[in-house]
Amino acid sequence: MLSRRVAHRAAGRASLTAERRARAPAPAEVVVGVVERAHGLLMAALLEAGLWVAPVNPQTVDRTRPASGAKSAQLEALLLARAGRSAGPDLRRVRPDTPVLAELKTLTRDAARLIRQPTRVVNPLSACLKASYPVVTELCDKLTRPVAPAFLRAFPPLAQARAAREAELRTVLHAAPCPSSAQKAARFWAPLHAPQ
Amino acid sequence: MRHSEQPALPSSRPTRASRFALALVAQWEVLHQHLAEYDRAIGRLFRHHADSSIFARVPGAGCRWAPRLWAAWGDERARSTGAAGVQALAGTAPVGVPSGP
Repeated sequence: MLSRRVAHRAAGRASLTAERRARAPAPAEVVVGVVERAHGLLMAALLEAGLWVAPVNPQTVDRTRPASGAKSAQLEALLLARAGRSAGPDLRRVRPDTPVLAELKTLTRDAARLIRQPTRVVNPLSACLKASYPVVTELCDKLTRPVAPAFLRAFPPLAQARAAREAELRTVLHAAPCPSSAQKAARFWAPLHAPQ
Repeated sequence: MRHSEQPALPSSRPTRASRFALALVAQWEVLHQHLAEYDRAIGRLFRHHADSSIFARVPGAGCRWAPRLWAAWGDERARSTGAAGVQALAGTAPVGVPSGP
């Protein structure tokens, strides 16, 4: 029986799953990892790697423990491995993710990474507008809504926005699209002509 | 050419700051477009799965969170033997922390 210790980090889990797959004597479907928890990062990593996993309650191997009652991580791993080898076919196995779920997991994970990106853009945008075009930050509740980009595109410098008539403002806001563009155009009018 | 003869800048010309703001807005719009594409792809996968109706009915989940809940939970029912396991996965299970040394 091979003994190996890996760090409970992403790199450690990746090396463990890669090694398990490499040692597969047959298709990966028959490779079973025996773990003592039915959930958690290790379980998720093994399943995502396409391995079947058999979660085993540590209490089930209590009777095979040494009489001294000694406990250590290595001893627990050894007892679980022995239990997995002897009772393998009878163990409840959790199957790997289906291809659809695996793809959904990848998509949601990538989307979550992408969602963090706009902050890197919106924060400097907000700072820039507060310094040079504060009326936009006052008038637009959120810079990420379509109104702010449409307004900036139509009236890049403040002078141009001040020269615009209320009807022009209304047209730009309506095209953004902005609900209740007429009321909003009227609301924009006064602050635009106030001293900046 | 004398200074007074230089042509005046047009009033519609973007200032340095507004040009920078427009560049940032363009970046944000590209990101927003990609996020919308991700949402559409996730929604398509989610809607075609048999379990989607279960997660779509979770109060407060909505069209954005329901697929993510399903992705976190998975479609293997045997993975959780009871509510406690699901709570632990969701991170809402109470955890005892000793206060003493």
